[in-house]
Amino acid sequence: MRKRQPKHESQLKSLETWKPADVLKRIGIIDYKDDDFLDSEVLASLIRNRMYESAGVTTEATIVLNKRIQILVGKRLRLEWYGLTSRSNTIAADTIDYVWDALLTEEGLSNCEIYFAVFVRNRVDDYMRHLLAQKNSMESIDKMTMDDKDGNKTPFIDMVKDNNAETPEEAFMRTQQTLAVRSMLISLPQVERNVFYFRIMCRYDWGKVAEFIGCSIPTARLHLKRSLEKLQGVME
Amino acid sequence: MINKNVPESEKLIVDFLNQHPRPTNQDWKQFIERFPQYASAIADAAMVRAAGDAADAVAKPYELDEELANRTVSKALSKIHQTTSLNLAKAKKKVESIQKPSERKQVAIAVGIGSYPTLLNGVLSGRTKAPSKVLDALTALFDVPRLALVELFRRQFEESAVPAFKGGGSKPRLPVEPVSWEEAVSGLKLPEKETERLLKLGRED
Repeated sequence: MRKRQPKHESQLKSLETWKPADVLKRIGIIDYKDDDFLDSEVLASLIRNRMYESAGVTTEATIVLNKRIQILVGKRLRLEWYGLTSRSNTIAADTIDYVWDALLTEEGLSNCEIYFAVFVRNRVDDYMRHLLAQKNSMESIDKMTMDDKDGNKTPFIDMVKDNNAETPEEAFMRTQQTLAVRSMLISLPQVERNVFYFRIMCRYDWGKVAEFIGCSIPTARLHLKRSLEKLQGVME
Repeated sequence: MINKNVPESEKLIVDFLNQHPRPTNQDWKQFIERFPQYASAIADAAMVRAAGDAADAVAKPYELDEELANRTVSKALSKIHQTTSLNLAKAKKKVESIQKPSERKQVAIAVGIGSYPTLLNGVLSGRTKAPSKVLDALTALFDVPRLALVELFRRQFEESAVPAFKGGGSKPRLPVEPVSWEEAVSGLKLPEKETERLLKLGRED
């Protein structure tokens, strides 16, 4: 069962008896070391229950909490997730909007009132997965074909030669955890990043990788080769 | 806005992340092996999490964008002011659902007040300040957040109808704030033992 942290429980109980003007003063404290500083979990509770709405407490708490959300979202979106959106400011605004929707629509005690930063992190990831799913539904390299001069269609993937199996680059990539690589991975077509994940990150055998992707082993190898080529470009 | 028809894979991923706040590679692998039909979606979720964590780990502080803050807060405020709090609405519904005197009596007993529905009526209408213990019992009984009940009672008091006064010997007196628990209990003129028991509820705050 969900339970508030004792510190937040006691902050909220003390606020119940405060006058709106005093609550507003406490909301305005920005130094988190100050004893009267209100944690984000508490602000979320004030907003979700519209505490002293007519006296402006809900509004003030929203202004303060929105800035905190922006910082959490902004940090997590720092890599700009290129490939998912062209403008980082748009994605940040949409993500913040999504966080607010989640914060306001849950009944009972929300996770945002227990661990706010974790709540925001999970909502950002939900939103990124949603964008990724949208991107996936728009493109599929497996469906791409090339027409030859006689008008015959050949799957695009079959046009790429498979020269390598495991390469030294694979071993190199295993150890790389940089932001650029992670960002680039997200921008890859789904099948390429999935093969990369299954083979390089999870170290599944080729049979398993092909099974997860739903293709043959040589095709899976080709996808990995293509993803490594792109990632190598970033590393250079 | 995200489509409300959430696919099964997404529900499983959300559950998984709730159960594994810091999933390891091994956790993800076990998850994939349990649901190989959703392997692609799970792999994407793992990569999104890893990419976000890598971004979070960058030491450079994030600089607040005032223009973005203004733009997003306007939207948030309009959402908040145009919608009702789900918790407040639920609390109101629960309070309104106990109308009959027999039901009120039952609730009064359940929350520790005893068979004095008048006291409970005072609390539910916001006219009487409820002791913390009674508030906690009501919170548990109604299954709503305590803060929602506190705010509801405050609103009930603010919105309560002003009684009409007819000319009389004394000046009309309108309470500007709820009466204290002690005042409400004393006003009932109950036997000493019961009065003491009820006052004790208030002293435990």
